[in-house]
Amino acid sequence: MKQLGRSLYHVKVGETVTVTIVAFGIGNTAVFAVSPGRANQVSDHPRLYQFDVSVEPGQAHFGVVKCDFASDTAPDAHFQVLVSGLDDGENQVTFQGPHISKEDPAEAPISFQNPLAGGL
Amino acid sequence: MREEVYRRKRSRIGPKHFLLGMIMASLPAAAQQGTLTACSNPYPRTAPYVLQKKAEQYAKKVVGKDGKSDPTEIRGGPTGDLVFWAIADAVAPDQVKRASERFKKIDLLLLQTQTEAETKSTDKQTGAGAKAQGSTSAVEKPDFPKLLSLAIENGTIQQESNGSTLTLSSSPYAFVAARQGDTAEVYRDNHDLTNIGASATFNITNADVPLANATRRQLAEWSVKYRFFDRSSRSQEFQNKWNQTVLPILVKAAQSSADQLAILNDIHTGKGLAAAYDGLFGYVRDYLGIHQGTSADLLVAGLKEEILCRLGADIHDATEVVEAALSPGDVASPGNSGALKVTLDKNTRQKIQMSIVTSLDLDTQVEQAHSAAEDILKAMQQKPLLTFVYTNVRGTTTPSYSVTKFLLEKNTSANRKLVFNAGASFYGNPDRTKNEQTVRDYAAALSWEAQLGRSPLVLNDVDQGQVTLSFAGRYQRLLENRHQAGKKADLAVVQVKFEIPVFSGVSFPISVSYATASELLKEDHVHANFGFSFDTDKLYQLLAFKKKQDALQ
Repeated sequence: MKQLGRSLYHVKVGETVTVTIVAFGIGNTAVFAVSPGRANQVSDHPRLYQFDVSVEPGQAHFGVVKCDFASDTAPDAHFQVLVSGLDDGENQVTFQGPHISKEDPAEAPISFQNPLAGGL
Repeated sequence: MREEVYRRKRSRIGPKHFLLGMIMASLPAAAQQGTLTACSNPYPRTAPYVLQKKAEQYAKKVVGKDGKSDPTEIRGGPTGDLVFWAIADAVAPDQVKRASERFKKIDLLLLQTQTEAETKSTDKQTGAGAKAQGSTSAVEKPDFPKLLSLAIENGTIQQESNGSTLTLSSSPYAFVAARQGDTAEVYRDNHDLTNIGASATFNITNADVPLANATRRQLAEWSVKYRFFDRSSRSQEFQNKWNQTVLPILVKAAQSSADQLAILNDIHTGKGLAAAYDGLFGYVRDYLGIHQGTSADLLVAGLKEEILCRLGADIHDATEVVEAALSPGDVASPGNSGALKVTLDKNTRQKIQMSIVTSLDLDTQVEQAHSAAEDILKAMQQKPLLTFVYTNVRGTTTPSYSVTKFLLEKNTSANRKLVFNAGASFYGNPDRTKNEQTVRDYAAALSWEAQLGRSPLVLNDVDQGQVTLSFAGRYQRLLENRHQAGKKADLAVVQVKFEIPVFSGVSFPISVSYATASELLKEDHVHANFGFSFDTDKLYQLLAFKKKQDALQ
């Protein structure tokens, strides 16, 4: 896995991607989904999801974090998304993904691209 | 002017800040934003609201709040999102128009509901407790709703002043959260600490620099509160109900959004699949390079136009539907200029149309589930709230003593509530020569508060600032006054308090009390307190609403 931006990652077929949504100043009221394929939720506290990369080179898995903010939530409440996978040396790496606050869009898309040989 | 200024809560908000805020709110949005577009071809016709909204949101993300712009914020998911809607606008304009109307309606409704709820609230105990000088309250309210978040935001201690007293508040949880992060897990694991609040009230002699009054000599009282129930949306009770009400439909909606974006895997650009398009990143990076030193507001407005313009030229205008079915291996040739040629087949167009209809339906269901969860939250907040308070009063003419008190709040209807206080106070070192004993007094207080309706003096339609009327009675049995000439042991006070919002975020409370006697005087007397109370939570909400409303219209 390689991070090109908070919402853009290059991944390899067969790699397992982990997405963690950490809630700050708010309950665990955000979820993650991915397509093609489906993400498995493996933890509630914090919400943690995993999926395996299966798309062909040039294609992408599109993930979406969707959030719900209750009316009594403080203005500084936010969700921090953490994205984990394997680097070139097959070591586990974790990156800071999107930061979603109350005034941001309620959903944050993330792309997991399987790049064409030589990059995109 | 950054929005953070308005987010400072009831602390050090001087007349300059207030006036500047009002002036900013009255300016037209265009005058505040301006434009700085580098791209020469505007988006074909008026860009649909859904695209305008997303372009502005991502421009804000790129510009950031700390002055450090980051063009990588537009890479990946955000780019895919924008590209999808630009293609959809080209091949399914009717569906996009309907989606835009729906999104706009939801946004306005959410914004209005949120602003009205914040401005209507009268739940906060502002200023000192009932007995401190300058206080207009006869009873204390048991909740300290935003203490935790404010304390964390302001460096673990929150300050507020009512003119004659300064109160500093915090919570042990604020210190834990400052170290470990205020996450849902830390909140759950330290739940008992979240229910504890502490405060210290100082008499003000230097009104220009309120914090200069925070000295031991001017300490009037300090107190610790324990709240027995958590009625907030962070409680486990609300989380469980949210999991039942909102979670299932939110998961479906997220899946639908992801499926929608995955359609980009079927769309060709001549240089690969639309799923891998990264052109906006380059434009945004170049734009930021050219406009270094530009103010954040101008950058956001300019970037929004730049993004829309590039989407129009690169994606919308270059999109065509072809007759033959395309497969991922097909590569359409780029145009003569090397520009993108976005091609999709009829099957993909149909998928786009269907996905918009589905996501609109699911968004409506999410909105309904959110409303249901809000109703649950309201019902939770109608439940009785019990708080235990320990206060150490440091009198200037009398010895220090401790007060233990239970505070109970019960809503009797949507706009009426009862607050009951009962407790006793104790001397640490009673002076027997002054007839003092360990138990100083017993006291009980009861108040009834009603919201009479929206203030007629507030001109902003969305400001639901409520006129409130309360009646309160307090009885105190002061044991050291027994058998003392010129003093009474039984002290009773009745009070009527009226509070009317006069401007947005500013209200005028006035209270009149009749007392049968005081702790030092045997004669009955009438006492009045009045002043102005500032609530920057409300002011911030209204300014934010005005700004967003301008953007929506």
